[in-house]
Amino acid sequence: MKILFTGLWAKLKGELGFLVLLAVAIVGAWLYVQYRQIRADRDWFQHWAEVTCAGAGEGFGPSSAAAQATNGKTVTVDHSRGQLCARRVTDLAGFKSQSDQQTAELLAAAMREQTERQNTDTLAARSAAEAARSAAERMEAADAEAERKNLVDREWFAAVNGVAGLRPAGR
Amino acid sequence: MSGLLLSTALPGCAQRVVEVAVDKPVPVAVPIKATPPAELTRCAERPQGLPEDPALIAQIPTSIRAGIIRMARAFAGNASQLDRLVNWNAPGTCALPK
Repeated sequence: MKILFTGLWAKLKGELGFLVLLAVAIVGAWLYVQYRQIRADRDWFQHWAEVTCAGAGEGFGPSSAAAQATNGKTVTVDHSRGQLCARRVTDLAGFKSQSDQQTAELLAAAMREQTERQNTDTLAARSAAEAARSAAERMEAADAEAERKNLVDREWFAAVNGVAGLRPAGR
Repeated sequence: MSGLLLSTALPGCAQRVVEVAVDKPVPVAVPIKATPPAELTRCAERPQGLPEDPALIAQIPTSIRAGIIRMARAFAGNASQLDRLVNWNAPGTCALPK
C-alpha cells in the first residue's frame, strides 16, 4: 500500500505545474458561475424594485429636488437610490392601517348609536302604547255612560282629552 | 398633510444639517349624516283640548261622538309617532308625554 502511494506521488510530482493550473481553472470556473448567478439575481431584484416602486407611484432611481428647509431657505435635497420609494411605501402602509382603524372606530360608534336609539325608541313606544290603552278604556266607559244618559258631560270631555293626549282648555 | 421632518445633509457641506418638511398622506374618516331640515324635525304640536267644565253639558249624536273619538285617537297616534321620529334623528329633542 505504502509503495503504491509513493509511486503515485513520484508520478504526480512531475506534473505539478499542470495540476496547479487545473486547480486555478476549476476555481475560476466556479467563481464565474457564481458571478453569473449573482448578476442574474441582481438584475431580477432591480427589475422587481422598479416595478414595485412604479406601483407605489414613486421612482426607484436616485433623484434630487429643491425643497424648502424649515429655516426658510431653498435647498437641494439628494435622494439616494430607493430612498423616496421606501419612504413612500412606508407612508402608504401607515395610511392603510390608520384608515382601517378609523373606519372600524366609526363603524363601531355608528352601531353603538343605533343600539341606543333602538332602546330609547322601544321605551317611548311602550309608554305611548300603555297610555293609549288606559285612555281607551276610560273613553269606552265614559262613552257608554254618555250613550246611556244621552248627554255628554265633563267626564266624557276629559276622556276625549285623555285619548288625544291633550291638556284641557281653559275658559 | 402633516409635516414629517427629514434631516438631510446638504451636498458639499456635510457639517450643516437642515430639516425639510415632506408630505405624508393622512386618512380622513368622517361619518356622513343625512340630517333632515329643521322644518321637518319640529316636535308635534299639542294644542289645548276640550274644556273640562262641569257646567258644560251637551247632547251629541252617537255617530258624531264616535267621529270625535276617532279623531282624538288618530291625533294622539300621529303626534306620538312624530315625536318618536324626531327623537330618533336627534335624541332628546322632544319631551315624551306622560
